[in-house]
Amino acid sequence: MHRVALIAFALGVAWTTAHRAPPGEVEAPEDVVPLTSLRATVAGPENVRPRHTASWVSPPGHRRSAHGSALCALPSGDLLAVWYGGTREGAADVALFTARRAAGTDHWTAPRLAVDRISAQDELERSIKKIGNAVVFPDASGTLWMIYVTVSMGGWSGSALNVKTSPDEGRTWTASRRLTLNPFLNLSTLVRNKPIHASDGRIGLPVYHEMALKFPQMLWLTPGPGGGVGDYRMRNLAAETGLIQPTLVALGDDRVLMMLRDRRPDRRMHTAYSEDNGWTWSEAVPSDLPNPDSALDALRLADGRILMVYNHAHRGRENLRIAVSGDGGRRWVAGPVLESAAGREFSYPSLAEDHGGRIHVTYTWQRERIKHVEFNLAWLDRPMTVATTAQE
Amino acid sequence: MSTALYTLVLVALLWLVLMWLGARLRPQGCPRVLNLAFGVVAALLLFVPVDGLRMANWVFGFCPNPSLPLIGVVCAGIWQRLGGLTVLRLADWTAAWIFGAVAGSALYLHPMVLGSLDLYFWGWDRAGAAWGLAALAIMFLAAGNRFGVLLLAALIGFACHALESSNAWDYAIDPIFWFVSMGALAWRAVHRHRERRGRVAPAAG
Repeated sequence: MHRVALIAFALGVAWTTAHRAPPGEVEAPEDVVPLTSLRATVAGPENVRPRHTASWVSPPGHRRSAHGSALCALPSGDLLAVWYGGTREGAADVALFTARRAAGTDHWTAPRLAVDRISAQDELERSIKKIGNAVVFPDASGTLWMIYVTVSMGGWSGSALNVKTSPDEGRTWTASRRLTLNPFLNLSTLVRNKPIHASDGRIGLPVYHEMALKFPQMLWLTPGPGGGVGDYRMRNLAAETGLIQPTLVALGDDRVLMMLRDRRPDRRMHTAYSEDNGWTWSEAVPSDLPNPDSALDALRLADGRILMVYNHAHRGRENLRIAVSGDGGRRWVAGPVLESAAGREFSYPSLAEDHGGRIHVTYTWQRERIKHVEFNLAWLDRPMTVATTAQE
Repeated sequence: MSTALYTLVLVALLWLVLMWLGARLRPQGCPRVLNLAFGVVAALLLFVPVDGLRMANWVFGFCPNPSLPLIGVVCAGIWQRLGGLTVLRLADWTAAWIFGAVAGSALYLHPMVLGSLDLYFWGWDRAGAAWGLAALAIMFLAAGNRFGVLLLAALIGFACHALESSNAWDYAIDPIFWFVSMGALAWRAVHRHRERRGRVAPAAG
């Protein structure tokens, strides 16, 4: 008799759980859209003359080492940058800092501590050994999200992701929440680049796995009613290994381009395409461009072209270049060189387009500081930059 | 379940494990006062901060989603050792170890063999996962195997979002349960092999 009761109970629990499950939770999004609040104009009057300026996000001597910046254009028009700084990459004193550049101004505020090892440990109620990459982005409601890496054991392959949200564009943050994304002790999920936004509110964040096999993944986040994470799920991509730090560009008509950092001996930037808004992906194929095992970033300009910032080399991160594609990422035209110096490092670019159509790049400058470069399309399209196809 | 409540459950579980270990180490017929003192010390140990964190938080940090079957077999083992009651019978233990070995191997090893098959993803399909867990639990329950109760607990835990994870797999299996299951089955196999050899040896001699 009690056996029958237990079976009936199991059926009841399963029926209730299944009944409460939201429809379409494991289906591809219908459309990927740019956030209305962030849509840029193609060319304002201020963009007719070439404009190019450079400034510093992190002040001199702020921390001995600075790396991994991520830039975000906020709905208010401000820019917000986040990066990690400390004695050196992976040190226990590394913390995440944010700085803001208010709309209409040309200077960055002093760095503000967003999270360090101790605060992360307190908020997550577990041991945290070190802090790594972070990304910031707004959702459709204007809530700002920060997703960042922490490690409790081992190296970067032991990473896990955490979320903080902000109702006031990064001035205050909620406590961190851990995301469980991997079945094996939740180890080895990392993040580097910004997400795409589905029309149903879901956020498609490109992430990657590094333990044993290295491969890209898509993390789909559903915002909750009160802001923050309502639900989430992760999808592994095709069985491609050795490719990490995916960068996404929504191309329209359900197409999304993915560009990948190459950790294999080939050292070539790889590309893959999705025809269903980032849900399933083609096999990644090598492009004509080299990749020295380094991060890159790209965005779709208001005029439809794709702009990419990357290290144009098979080895070393001694130059940082721009390339532009007018055919959805199949062929690239070489653009201006942002930095180039033998024996130095310029890396981990992060791109954003502001409301006025100006392009902003932040990047690691010699592992010491975070630099910011701003330019407009008139500067990008100066006659000298209309050059040959980017070749190795 | 809130992290604070969840940590409390883990503290209780760890305390039981310490009590079990203590019971195995202490000599038979130990005075009751000593038993009580051991219980208090074991409880206090769990709250001693190490590098600013309680021992329970350290365990929680490294194993953030202990599966319900793992918690169940630990509790059953402790209960049987300390209370002398048979909670799980031999067939139930066997079912637990076989489930742990099969489910764990499938979940953790399939990316190396079938890279495009993403088993973990389907654990986020709430409807499918709930019916899957229910089907497994019912299968064991219908056969009169008590391991079905632990799978039913996993289903209830999943329905209530009792763990940090929202993926059904984490309610049914975890790496520790997998390792223990593989170990238990291997130990049994070795034991059986030795027994067989022991039986054959005298005849051969």
